[in-house]
Amino acid sequence: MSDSTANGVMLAADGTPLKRSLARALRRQKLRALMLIAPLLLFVLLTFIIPIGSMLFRSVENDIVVNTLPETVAALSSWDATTGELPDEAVYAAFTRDMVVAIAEKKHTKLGTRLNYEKTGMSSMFRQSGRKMKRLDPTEDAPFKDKLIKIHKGWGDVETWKTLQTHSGIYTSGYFLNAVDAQKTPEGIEWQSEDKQILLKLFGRTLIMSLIITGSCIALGYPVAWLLANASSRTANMLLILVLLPFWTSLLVRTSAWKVMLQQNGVINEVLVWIGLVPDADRLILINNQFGTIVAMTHILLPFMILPMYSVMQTIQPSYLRAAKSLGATNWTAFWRVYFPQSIPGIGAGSILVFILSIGYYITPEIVGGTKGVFISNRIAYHISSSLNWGLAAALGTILLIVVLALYWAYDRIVGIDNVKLG
Amino acid sequence: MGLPPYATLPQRVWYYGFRVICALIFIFLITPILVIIPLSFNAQDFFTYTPGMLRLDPDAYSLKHYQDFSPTTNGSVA
Repeated sequence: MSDSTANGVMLAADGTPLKRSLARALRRQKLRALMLIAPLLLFVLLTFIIPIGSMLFRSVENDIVVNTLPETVAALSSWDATTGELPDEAVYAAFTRDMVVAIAEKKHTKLGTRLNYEKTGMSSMFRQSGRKMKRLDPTEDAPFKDKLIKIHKGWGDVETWKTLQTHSGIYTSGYFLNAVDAQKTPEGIEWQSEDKQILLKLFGRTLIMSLIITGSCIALGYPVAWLLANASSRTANMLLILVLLPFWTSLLVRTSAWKVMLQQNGVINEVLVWIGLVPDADRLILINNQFGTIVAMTHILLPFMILPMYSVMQTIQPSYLRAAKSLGATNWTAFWRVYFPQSIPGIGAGSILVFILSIGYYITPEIVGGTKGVFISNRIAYHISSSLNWGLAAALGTILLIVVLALYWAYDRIVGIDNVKLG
Repeated sequence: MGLPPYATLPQRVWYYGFRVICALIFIFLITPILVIIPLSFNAQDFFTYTPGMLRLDPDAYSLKHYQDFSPTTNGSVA
């Protein structure tokens, strides 16, 4: 032991203590491993985690009010809304100063749009007053209270100032409350009026329809997977083409094909009328409702169910089934007690794939769903591209993500995620 | 998985019934893809089978959608 000193510390060949030398070598190894995955890590971070994070952050972000009207927010904080009296002149003066700056920067209409989500009429109020308040001089034209009320009587309404005060925080729970059909009001949290309550219903419908689609995919996929796994390899390959052909066809083509099939003078109705099962006068309404969405999506997602099931069933030894039968089991008992438990990992993998894909599906419900068969994703797309209420869209997306994660967790607890096999 | 010669009647019924069910599922999978092919020869712009097409009237079919698709005949695309 030439590299051991008198006090018993082991030394490496270059004289450094062995412990430190080993730690350095390990650190270098870890660093090299990190460098190897760095491109992927950076890619995932830049293209996935940061954009999604910033999108989700929009669901609580509310700095527009305090950025556009900083003085008003400060002045309003001392105002007691419960008295039912209008704020004093100081608030109006601060508001005028803020608005003149905001109008010059053309920011007041954005603020109006933001506040309109909470109280209808705010958007037009800001736009109309913007045109007239431009002419006010914040230093000379005081007092402002009566002038503002003359410009738009909304400024003489206590509710306007209450709304402004309630939504002046940097962060808000308002979008999340809107996403579950509630509303943040000066008096606390309230439900939206009946005719505006659609989002919870849509969430429920999305979940139920996704479950129905997953269930029908299991029901249709299981026999086919069994047939594929038990046929001779020549037949199985031939039949597999029938599964893969729809899988390889463009999603849009398949959805349009279902439009051709299901519409009122579509293929199915024509055939039924031709056979005489359905009178020509009242053809079945198969499209633009929930039925259309379920049928089309079952067709589109069926390969995602069949392929994992097939690859799992291929690994099940047929001799187990024969052994069970030779020990006296009936066909049904042999299937249910021996074959089915072994095929559960395939069902689990297929179900997770189909359910998670269907819960966020957009194109198919949009095309064949009409109004009754749309999903929550269609609503998210509407708020992203048409109503431009990105905060609400982000809140809906966040809730959907949480629901999926919660269901995944529940699945892990009940079935066990180790019990999922893709092959 | 052929049917053994000693299979009872219910077993036979199930054996063929199961294959009929599977055939129906395969039809479900493949028809929408096949249905869309003849429509590409539609003489009209509508996305349905016209009565003429169902009567196999040659006038109801055309290659005009393929001509629209080809850059040599459609100046607007080129």
